[in-house]
Amino acid sequence: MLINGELKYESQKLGMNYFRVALVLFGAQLLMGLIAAIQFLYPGFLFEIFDFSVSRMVHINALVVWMLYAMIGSVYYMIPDETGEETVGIGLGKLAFWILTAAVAVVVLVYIFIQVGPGNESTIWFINEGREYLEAPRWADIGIVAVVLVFYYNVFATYMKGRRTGIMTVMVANLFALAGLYLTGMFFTDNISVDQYWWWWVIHLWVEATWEVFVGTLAAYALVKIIGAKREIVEMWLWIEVLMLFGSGILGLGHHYFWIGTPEYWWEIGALFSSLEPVPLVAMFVHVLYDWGKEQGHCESKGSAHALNNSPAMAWVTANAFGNFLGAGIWGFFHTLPQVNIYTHGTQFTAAHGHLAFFGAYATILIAMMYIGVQGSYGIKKMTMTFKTKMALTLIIFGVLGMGVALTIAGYEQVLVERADLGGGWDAYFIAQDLPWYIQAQGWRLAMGVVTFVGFIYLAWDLLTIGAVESAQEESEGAAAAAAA
Amino acid sequence: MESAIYMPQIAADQFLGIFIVATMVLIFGVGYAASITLSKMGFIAKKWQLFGYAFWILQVYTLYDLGMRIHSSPFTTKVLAVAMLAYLFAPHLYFYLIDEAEKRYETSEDGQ
Repeated sequence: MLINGELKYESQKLGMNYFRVALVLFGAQLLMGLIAAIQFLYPGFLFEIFDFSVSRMVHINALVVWMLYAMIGSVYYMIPDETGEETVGIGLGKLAFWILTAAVAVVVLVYIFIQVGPGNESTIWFINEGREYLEAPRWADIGIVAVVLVFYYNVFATYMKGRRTGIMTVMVANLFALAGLYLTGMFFTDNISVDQYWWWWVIHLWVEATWEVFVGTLAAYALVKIIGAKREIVEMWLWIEVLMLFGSGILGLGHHYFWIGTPEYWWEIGALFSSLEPVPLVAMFVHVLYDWGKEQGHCESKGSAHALNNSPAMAWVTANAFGNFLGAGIWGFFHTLPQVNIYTHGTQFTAAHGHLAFFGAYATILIAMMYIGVQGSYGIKKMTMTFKTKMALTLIIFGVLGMGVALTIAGYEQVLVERADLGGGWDAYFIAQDLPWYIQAQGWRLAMGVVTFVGFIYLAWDLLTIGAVESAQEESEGAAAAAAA
Repeated sequence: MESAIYMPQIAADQFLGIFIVATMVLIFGVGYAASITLSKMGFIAKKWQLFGYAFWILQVYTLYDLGMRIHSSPFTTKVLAVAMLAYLFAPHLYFYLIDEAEKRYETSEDGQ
């Protein structure tokens, strides 16, 4: 991941820069998560120095930002492959990258060192907008819009100039929606229900609609790239997934409207369309395994053992297929119906779903894209898994699953004690947090967080070294084959 | 004062059952899709598709059971039943489209 030597296109080099920053932010996200996990167990830890409200905020914002970085990086990486053209306005794209990175650095430093400001407009403009998940101050909000406009211009202009594949068509249309939705989280209203109503457009229509379609697009690109799947078939799957994801995801938004003062008809709409949301995830899961099995069968019939040219990336794509269904599908479904949601809303169930879904649906496929980037950067024909790849895969998956299970147990205890037994009041909230099941579950969450962090260290180490190791091995094998001939 | 939120009364000992049944709905759903897929891919014989339909029947039952446990409204129950009927046809529609696409692009050289 350190060099771009074999990349022909500036766009792909820029994509690798985005991946590098994403990896750093991923590490920062996990560190902040560890601090917050310690604070659940020991509330006095870093009290009034680095409060839970700050560590949690940086944890979540770093998550959103590293994923956006990796997404932008993925698009810049795949554009030349898909369109056959260098990205239009690449100089502008590079400038936007440095501006965005400088702005993110300033925002993070303000979050960490200034943290809070007076209760007036100056805080909203310069410190923190106070809108959960999207806390960036307003100057940064406007900057993000400007950078994304540059990015979208680059993508759209290149698409119009080059080959218009089905994958790029979906990508261009979806990016328009993804970028446009950010605007709905940029204004305040006096009525908090109305405010929440619009704010959910960003969060929900990102993670359960446009980001999922984005994942489908990346999976399609990865299948063509890694196993040589037939483009026409992959694109047909992609269109079906788009239909189902938007068909269920857009009105599935209703599950955020259950308890914020919106009309009751949202219960029925939210219940129905939320229930349908796992269906496309099953389809994506089947799609990956079907294509892999089919291409493997073709290879075996031709006498070649392996269809894959990048095993680490394919391992993460497969983790994505399982993880998306498990984290977003199962963990989402079992608390999405309004009758259950009123008991689970805002408990650690939500956190369990959040951890499993963000990891399963997004982190996995973005890590796969990083491995594809490394393969291209070093010009490796067939990249195989190293010991570090396997350790990263095992520890991260085990750690995140462990955190998900621990948080589910904590949430289950909250549902029984805080909500069902004590009625969900202020006292009930604190009583439930003092009980042994909750505390033990938070202890296991911290332990599993440490496992995840160790897995991340392996991942970063692998991404930084696998390119050099594998290309050296390929060269020595090539030399040995030449000598034998 | 009239309550602002209708909170269905679910006893504390009902929640574990609800979460397990909700999970089983999806597990059986995947079982159904997996059986059809594996049979279409040739990993298992066509006759095993019958097990897939058994999974689908179990899925319908668990979804019905879930609806009862959470005191779902009659309208939602009916809509979920229609959705399950649609799910019965979904894998077949997929593979019909795949077969048609493969026939159409069989001779295409521009695979990548």
